[in-house]
Amino acid sequence: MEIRVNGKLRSVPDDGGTPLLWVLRDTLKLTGTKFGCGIAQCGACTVLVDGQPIRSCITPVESVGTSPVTTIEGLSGREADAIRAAWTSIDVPQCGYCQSGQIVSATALLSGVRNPDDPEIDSAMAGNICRCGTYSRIRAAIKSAAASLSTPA
Amino acid sequence: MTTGEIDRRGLFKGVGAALVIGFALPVRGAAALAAAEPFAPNAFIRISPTGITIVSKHLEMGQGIETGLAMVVAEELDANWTRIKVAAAPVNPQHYANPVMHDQGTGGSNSMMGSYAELRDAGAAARAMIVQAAALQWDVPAAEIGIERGVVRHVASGKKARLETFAQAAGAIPAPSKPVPKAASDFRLVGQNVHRLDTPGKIRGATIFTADFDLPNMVRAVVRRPPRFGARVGSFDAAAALATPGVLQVVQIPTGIAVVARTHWAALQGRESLQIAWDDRDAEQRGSEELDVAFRALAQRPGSVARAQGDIASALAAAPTTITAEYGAPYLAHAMMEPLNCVVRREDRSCELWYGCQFPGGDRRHVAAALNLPPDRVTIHTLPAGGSFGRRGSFTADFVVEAVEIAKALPPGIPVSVQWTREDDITGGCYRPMSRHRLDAAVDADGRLRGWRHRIVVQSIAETIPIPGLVKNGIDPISIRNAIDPPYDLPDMALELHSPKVGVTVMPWRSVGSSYNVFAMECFVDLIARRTKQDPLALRRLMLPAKSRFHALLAVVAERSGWHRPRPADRALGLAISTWAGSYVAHVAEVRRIGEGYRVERFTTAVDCGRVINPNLVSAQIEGGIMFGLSAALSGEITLDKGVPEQSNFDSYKVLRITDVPLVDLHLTPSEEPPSGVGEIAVSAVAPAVANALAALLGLPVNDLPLKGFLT
Repeated sequence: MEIRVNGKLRSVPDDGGTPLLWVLRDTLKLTGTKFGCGIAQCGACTVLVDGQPIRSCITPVESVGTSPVTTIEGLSGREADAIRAAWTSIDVPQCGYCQSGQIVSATALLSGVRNPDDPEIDSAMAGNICRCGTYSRIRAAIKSAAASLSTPA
Repeated sequence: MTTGEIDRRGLFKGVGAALVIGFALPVRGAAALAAAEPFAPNAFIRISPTGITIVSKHLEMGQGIETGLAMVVAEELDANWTRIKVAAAPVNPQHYANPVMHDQGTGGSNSMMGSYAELRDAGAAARAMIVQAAALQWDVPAAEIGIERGVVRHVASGKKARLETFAQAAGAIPAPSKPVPKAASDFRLVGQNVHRLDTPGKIRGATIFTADFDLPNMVRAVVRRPPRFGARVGSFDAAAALATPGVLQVVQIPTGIAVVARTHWAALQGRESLQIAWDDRDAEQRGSEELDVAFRALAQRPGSVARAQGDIASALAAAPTTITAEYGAPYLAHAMMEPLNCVVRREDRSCELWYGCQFPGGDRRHVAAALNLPPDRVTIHTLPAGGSFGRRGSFTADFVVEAVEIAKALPPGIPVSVQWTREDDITGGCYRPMSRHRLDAAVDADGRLRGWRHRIVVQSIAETIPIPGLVKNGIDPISIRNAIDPPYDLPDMALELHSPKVGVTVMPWRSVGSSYNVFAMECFVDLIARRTKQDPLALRRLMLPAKSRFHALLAVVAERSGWHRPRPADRALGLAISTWAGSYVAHVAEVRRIGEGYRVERFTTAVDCGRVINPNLVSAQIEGGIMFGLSAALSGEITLDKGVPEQSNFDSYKVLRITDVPLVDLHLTPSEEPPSGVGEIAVSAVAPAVANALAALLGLPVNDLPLKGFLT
């Protein structure tokens, strides 16, 4: 089977029912995408498929086809850069284990909504759990990234 | 018993020899440090011509300790911060013991507290040796040499060079017997908002956690453990599991049945197919309701006396007013984002492990005992951990020894990565214990509190620690934390403890004994205030000794929360205070009624943690501690049905999400006192602050956690 990950077509030997998460982690060694719950409750496994955030832990690899998959390792562009810059200046991560998923979700949010308000941030980020409690900083960093994108460089 | 090994061993053939060549050293760890033979003035500093490495004896599990420790060393070295790297220390309790634990380990919020003076000395000593080396090389007096941001300079001669240039020469200089650290007034880094060193890796998915660590020919394993605590494998049928593609071996180990496979997914699929009959003869089979009934009954009877001052019995008998209340707190799972895991590679006479190791000293002893090896044949490479909150600091090294037991069933040289699922984690025990509290207060005719008797019913954690003498006269010192020494003047006071035996395994959980004791005590103080018609803040001020460090914190939170200002009828404030690891906290929670439900809108928090090394990191710990405490207060609860945990994943074990997060107005008190703990200080007073706000809003007692019944 072939899947398109971070711009490259990759041949994988996995059974079609294998969740995309384990194909990314075990087969392709893209370990930035994390296992947190296995039932789409925590968001640590979030990746983009066709630009939309999905939970790779419950997504059979065969259902993805050759739609473009973007993991934290391949996440790039204006929104991703702005998110990472804000994450750095606000020092969002603590243990960091959930942060790949947080950053993928936040980048997808900014790609669709230029200046998200609190309810829009809540709705985009409610699926991503952080047990270190970095939520206030995540909210502040998304707003800071949005502001930097609306300021002409 | 091993099943499938003989048939399938061929799959492993030949890989052992390849490992010797194929195995690459991890970037972090002692071996990498030794490779360049850098200037090593002491156990904490390695300087090579290309950079400076600070050796962290504490596990980075999110608290930012590696950045904090490195700042202290870099400050004394006058190093260029951008050239600082951190490596995790190897196991060596002689060099890396935690002075509070008397062993190598991270916990109790004491990492900075225990390392501050040691690392200042280490940095100052290295700096003096560098200066001496430069003086010899340049033939100028050492007293005329300065170092600024990593550049060694002799002003009169115009000579300058990077600090690292002298690494080799400094190696020949004897270490000063009494290094002289800087005056605090000369600090340039300490006290500043320095960015974390680990952020760049964590925002790119590049940080290698245990779950991500890979070795050539590594196999994956998961374990099916019994649903009930204390149960054992009666019999099992591995045929279907072994028929699962990718499954290599099925192994019975003391904790259950392990499925070893080529991939994690295959191991999970194989585990689903296991047929196991559990032997429940020694298992805990009581449910939460039965335990609650038993705990409530114990709370009515005198327990072992942990402290008796004055004469509370007579005070209660003579008091014109007595106030009695009971409080309860449930079992809680740690639920850190990275479930437990451990990578083990066993050879015939040695063993290497890679994982987020919180107690290197104890873990190594347990691994050595499991393998019948001397401890120095066990090497632990510490990797950053995706949270812990106490769970990885296992006194029995449970998850580490379990991984070693699986490695014992594999051919030598085959590395195995053992991964817990979220269900394994939430149902796996090692919980914060459930507790029951009864408090009886004696109040004078003029409304002044004479004192109280506090009876705690809680399982002993110390009983599980293999150190003799921890439990004395029936008193587990962990069970009574914060209850033994309330911050208030109580002329008559008694503390009694019941430590019932329950089969459910228990462990420290961020803030440990204070997490339930502070809830009971701080709710009780508010109840006394309500019954005696006093303001809860004024009553606390009255009860606190005049010199208490809490007075300053109470003044701050009163002012910033608008404690004395009128507020709308749909809002109420609740106050609670706590201490931990030398630090002090005061929280005011603001709760707002929304329709039939309620929401925690805001926390106003003041913390006195001595000298603040990095306000950015300390704030993150306090914010995180509030969220951790709030998560537990609102919805955290493990309940048992006939001994089986009823919660198993984040769908049933509800944790705080971004939608529930209150605003936090945090004030750190400036202080010249030595740094004290920040990892746990914020947690324990969160639940009573919210409960007190709810009680004020509703005019109802709020005595049991979690508070979900009161909140949407």
